[in-house]
Amino acid sequence: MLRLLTSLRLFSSLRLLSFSLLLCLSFMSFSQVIRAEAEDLQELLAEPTSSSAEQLYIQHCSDCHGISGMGSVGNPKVFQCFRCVDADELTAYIDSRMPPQRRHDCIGQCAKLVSDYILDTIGALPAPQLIAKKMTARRLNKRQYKNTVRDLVGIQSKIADTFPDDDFGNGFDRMGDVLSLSPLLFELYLKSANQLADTIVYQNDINVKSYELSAEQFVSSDGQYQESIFNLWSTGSAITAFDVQNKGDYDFKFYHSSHPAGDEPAQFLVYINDTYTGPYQTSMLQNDKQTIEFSVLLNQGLNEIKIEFINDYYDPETKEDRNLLLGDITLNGPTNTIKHKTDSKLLFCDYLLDDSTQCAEQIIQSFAQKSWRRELSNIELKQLFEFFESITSQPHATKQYALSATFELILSSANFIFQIEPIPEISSGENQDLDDYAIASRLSYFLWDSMPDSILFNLAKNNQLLESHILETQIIRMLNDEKSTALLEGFFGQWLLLNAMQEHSVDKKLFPKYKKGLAKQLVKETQLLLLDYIQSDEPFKNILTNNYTYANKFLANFYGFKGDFGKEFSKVSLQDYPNRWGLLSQASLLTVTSHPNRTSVVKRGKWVMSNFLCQDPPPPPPGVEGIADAIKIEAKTLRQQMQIHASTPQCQGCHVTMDAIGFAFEQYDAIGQFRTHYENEFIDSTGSIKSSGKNKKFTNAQELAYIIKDDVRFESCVVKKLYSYALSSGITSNDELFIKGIVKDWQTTNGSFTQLVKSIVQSDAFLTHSYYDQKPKTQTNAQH
Amino acid sequence: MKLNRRLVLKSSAACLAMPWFEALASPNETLAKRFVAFYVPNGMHMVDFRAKQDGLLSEQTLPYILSPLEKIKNKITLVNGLANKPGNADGAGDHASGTGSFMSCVKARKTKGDNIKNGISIDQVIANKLRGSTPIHSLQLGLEGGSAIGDCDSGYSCAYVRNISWAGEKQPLSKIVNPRLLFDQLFTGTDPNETAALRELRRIKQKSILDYLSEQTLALKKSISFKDKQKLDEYQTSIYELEHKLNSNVNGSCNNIELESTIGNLPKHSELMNDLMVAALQCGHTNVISYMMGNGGSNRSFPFLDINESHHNISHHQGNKDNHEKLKKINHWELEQFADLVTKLDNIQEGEATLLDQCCLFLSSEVSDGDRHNHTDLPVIYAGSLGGKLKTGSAITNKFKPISEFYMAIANGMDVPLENFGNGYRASKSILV
Repeated sequence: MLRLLTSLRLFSSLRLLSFSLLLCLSFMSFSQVIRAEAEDLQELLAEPTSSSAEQLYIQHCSDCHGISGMGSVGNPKVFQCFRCVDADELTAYIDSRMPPQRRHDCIGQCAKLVSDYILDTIGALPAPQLIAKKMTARRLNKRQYKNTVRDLVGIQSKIADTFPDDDFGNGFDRMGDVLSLSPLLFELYLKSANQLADTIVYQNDINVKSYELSAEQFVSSDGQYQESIFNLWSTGSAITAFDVQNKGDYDFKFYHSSHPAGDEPAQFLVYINDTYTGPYQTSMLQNDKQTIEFSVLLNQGLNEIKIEFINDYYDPETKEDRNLLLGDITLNGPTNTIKHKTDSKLLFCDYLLDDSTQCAEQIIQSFAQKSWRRELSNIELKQLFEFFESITSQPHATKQYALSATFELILSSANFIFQIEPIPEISSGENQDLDDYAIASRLSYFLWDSMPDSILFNLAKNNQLLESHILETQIIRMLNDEKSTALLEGFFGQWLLLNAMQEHSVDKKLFPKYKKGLAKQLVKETQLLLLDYIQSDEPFKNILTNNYTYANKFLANFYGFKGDFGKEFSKVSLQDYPNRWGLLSQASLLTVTSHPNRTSVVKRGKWVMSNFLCQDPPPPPPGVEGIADAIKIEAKTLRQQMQIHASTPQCQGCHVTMDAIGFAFEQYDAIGQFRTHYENEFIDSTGSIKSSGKNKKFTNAQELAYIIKDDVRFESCVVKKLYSYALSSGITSNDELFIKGIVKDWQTTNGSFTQLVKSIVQSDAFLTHSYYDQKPKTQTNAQH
Repeated sequence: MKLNRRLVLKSSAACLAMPWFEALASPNETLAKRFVAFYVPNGMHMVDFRAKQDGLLSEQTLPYILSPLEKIKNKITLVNGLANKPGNADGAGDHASGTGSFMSCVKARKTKGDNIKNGISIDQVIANKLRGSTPIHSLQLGLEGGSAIGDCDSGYSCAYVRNISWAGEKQPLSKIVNPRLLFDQLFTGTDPNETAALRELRRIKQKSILDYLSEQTLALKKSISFKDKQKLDEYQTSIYELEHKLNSNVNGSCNNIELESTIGNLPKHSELMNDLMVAALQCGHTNVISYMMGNGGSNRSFPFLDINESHHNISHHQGNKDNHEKLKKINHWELEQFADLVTKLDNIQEGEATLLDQCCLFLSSEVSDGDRHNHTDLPVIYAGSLGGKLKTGSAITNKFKPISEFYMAIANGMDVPLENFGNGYRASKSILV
């Protein structure tokens, strides 16, 4: 058994190494398959007998994979059928790759027959043993750090905003291998720990106050208060003053809007006691109420706020007039005190009055447990207590000082900064259960991007997490908790590239409808829809053909929805707007997959293929630039250009599918507006793609969405993406085996997102890990 | 981001007011040498970058893109023809592979995220040798942070595209792009109202924390996997670096810098970063800086130059004249920024000469031509002579010579002789005096 496992491991690492090679080759394979299939079409029409397929398998495959697919002596390659989800994929793989290192002698029809044989016969055999991997220690990324601090201490960490941006791997910013730690970041962690500790110890009893300054209180010679808004109509400023009880950092929130005119938004500066920030810009939408928020230091006593409008505009001919509209200001603080609700009090006994150190020690123990998301060993506890004592005994040190120092230490520790899972006891590579604390953390960082709350922690403490139904109940509870919105930015935002909207630029001259502020609203629309699917029992795949959306008055105007809309989002039936059915018809995603000035058939096609079918088209082969230029000269229309694309041998393998998909979306321009014509040329959005073994035709994006929805690759692709996110790693051949099981499991349910989370969490990949003790030959550390 | 002018002034004043800094400051016996790597993304429009001929620059006018350096051309050198062969990608992904191996001169492993692998970069090799001579080991800076999504370059992890400094095979060093953060990193001292007793207490506390963390990490490493240990090595190195920084004589601010908001204002952002780099070098905070004007394959647009398309898209110029013009504009602007930094350093007297004379600032890109993605004929110039060790004032050609050997020559000039580096085995003699 051990030997088998070893070779399996070897096999998977080989697979990893050859991954890039495989990418290149699979490019060839697509075209080969298409060609081969055309040639063999007639032969295929004759129904093959299963015995001939079996003979082909024995002839071509059994040397290595064994008669039963379980490997053979001396050539112990266990048959790992991680491609058995899809017949096309398996056929293409056999066609182009099998047998490895020899002439590929089972191509065309042979590959097809063998692939069917494997799926029908060998795929049904008991699965080979799945090895769960040991997760690399993961440094908390920025989002996780902020959320953890929010839930642990109850404050919004500002320092975390200055942390360097996290690097990405496999499309997500949570890959242990990629999230490195630099001396700079470490210093920032310490600084943050210091501030948090001080806040907990010293700022615990200051009351947070909220100050509301009505727009009515503004004083100015350049404007006037009318109907809950202060209208600044020419370049100049408005002042307001107020009293503050406690000095400290305050969250400043200011509502503003404008009457836009001219080609730039109204701009203004905000002065707080003579220090200004800005310029800030208003939205270009009429009366679109926006807020600016930042943190300010306010003095005790009188403080003054001044808003200065700096770019008035008036066109005497058109009477276009730009005005800045000032709304209310709210100030909340001091924020350097605790304000969010946390699970329990951190300082739950009065350690200052306690003559012994008992109370302080209890506080330290409880805080360390929460911060390190597990119980501490006695040695660890003893060391913390000793540290507290040693600081207490310093001259001039108070108990408060020592406690704050101890908190600082706990929050700077690798145990806080990293998610580290202890090494499994047996190092022979077998799967072993993770301890409950590790599972609780995996779960909470998966669904919340934050630490386990007290309910999870206590279940882990009592070893109840894996008891029947408890895990399931917890998953449902967690998904319905507000904190699960972390999935929107963390998972969906990165998977769908939705997060890129914040930095996507659009040529505003070509697309005047794409006004400042619109991007945010478009993202919100998509997020609201996603949230419905995160928290409901609706089959997840229906999101591709969903017939409602969310809109407010700006989006209704943008999309042309009829009816009454306010500033808030409300649910809209798309009964009358069929060209907006489905996630893929949302302007946010259509925009982010376009260039600033035009759409890109290839970009959208590639995006759908890689993210919804997990068919990453390999990069264009070398020398392709020349062909691209030649095509451009020859072709008159985009369609023609792409047709040449698809008939050029070097391009067709990938572009046949990519372009067909991309064209389906051509009826949406670079900001997702519906159109039927390029300037005066009719847009032909029809096409066909191969899906689940058949050629399927569509006339537009909605019909394409139905095809994708029913494509087996779609479900398996969603699983792959979420699996990779949940386990913070890329997908190896071994993971493919787990994924296959998860897909099957998910298919037996109602197909909701919740069920998918359950299937992933309840798989051994998530609940167990293994460790194979391989002593490295050399240890490299360049810094020492 | 909000920048409070008064707060800033207060914190720099705090540095100046700290008496123990002066007490501990020791006079420099020899002047320190400094190394700055200045990276620009997406290659260069080489036609307007290459010198017309080899030889003295005083006898020729600089090409258009280099024209911002005209006034100071006696202190720069143009090196034509260098290549970085390891920059070639496996398949596509030349921006990632080229940026990854920009200063490592080894091939970056093609992976989307698992098991990233590159090599230690030349700036880190130099900084490691100089370890202990400055409070901060080295600085990694830039003008472009991460992007909001992780689709980087054809199967290469974003780590390769965003970092040119690598502390080791698996440890990219993330860069500071926020001027405020850099300012704090360099100059923020303690509260001027803090009493001597409290200051001492704070010092003890900090030391105890770092000692404890060090011990704890050692203990933790006994019970974790090999890969996890590598992660904690990064953590331990960081403890060491911070200990050193806290024990060093920081010079405080020797330069007046006024922070202001740079959001959405690239020229201002760039200018401020230049000022901060000058201050860091002048005040002796560090002697090694790497600076990225953008990430590899940057998609930034330049509205202030009237260029609204993405830089990367334009760099695939396909021979189009319009694109060439735009690239020229962008490259010219980039060189203006470089010239600004160089000139500022040259305006500071240090000993008999200027600060620039003690430096080597070298500029290059991850590819040569943005359309061809070639890693040969790289655009390379440097400014400063490292105290007379490097030749300046001329254009030379080193056709197909590995850039690693050029780096070795610079290291030599920094008094860090190397036997080999990356794919290089001898220091290029052509730039050494």
